[in-house]
Amino acid sequence: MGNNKLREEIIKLIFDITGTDIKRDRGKISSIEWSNVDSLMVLEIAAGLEKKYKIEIKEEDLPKLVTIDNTVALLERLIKEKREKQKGIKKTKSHRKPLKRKLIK
Amino acid sequence: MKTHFSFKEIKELLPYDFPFLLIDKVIEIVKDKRIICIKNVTGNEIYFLGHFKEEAVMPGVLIIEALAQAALFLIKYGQNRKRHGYLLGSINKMRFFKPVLPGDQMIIEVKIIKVLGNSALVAGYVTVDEKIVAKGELIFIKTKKSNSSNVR
Repeated sequence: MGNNKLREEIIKLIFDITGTDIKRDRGKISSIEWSNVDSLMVLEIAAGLEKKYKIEIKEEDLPKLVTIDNTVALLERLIKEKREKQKGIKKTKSHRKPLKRKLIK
Repeated sequence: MKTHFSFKEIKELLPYDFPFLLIDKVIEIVKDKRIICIKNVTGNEIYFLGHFKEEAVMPGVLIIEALAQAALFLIKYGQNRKRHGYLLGSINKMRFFKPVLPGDQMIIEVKIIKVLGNSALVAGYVTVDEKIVAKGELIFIKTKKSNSSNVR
């Protein structure tokens, strides 16, 4: 997933939660803290991101969810970690297969 | 582990009493995950005196309150209840699909979606005769003391 696509998706999700007009306010939020987000909305944003990208946001990552740039960076890291974890599982499975065939022969 | 709680046990854990305790029984609970409660709505409920004058309909805000009380029981269950109180911080995506009337049995289901820091996001729905009558999300905020009148 490209950085820009991810950024757009995150912006949309955040505006869905905060209820602000995406077209009107997009310019305001580039890398500055968004103004009308309180701690309750941060929890909603975290839960929304977790559900959408099937990741887990930990408590220490919460302060990062206050700017778009930091949120995109965090999401990229978490998605990458998730993919690597999945690849790791697949690798171990594929390694087992030839071993089984050998045993059968 | 215990999964059923009587009206008396609910009263011991939650800081509510007549006419505001809106849970009759807990029929299933999984700690830190989900809870299912029952509220039997009778024609003698005190709020039916005025809601409405001509026809008794359970107020939607009290259905939210029943969800909040179920959620609070789930959050408080197994915790040190004397140290913390909880405030309702936000009501999100609340929808009401059917009126709740005298004689209905509300099955209230709540599950914890995410707990971060001092806040907890829960989602819940209420069914009557296996049909959803209301659903939505609530956010609770943990406070230090539970003896304030405003704190749940």
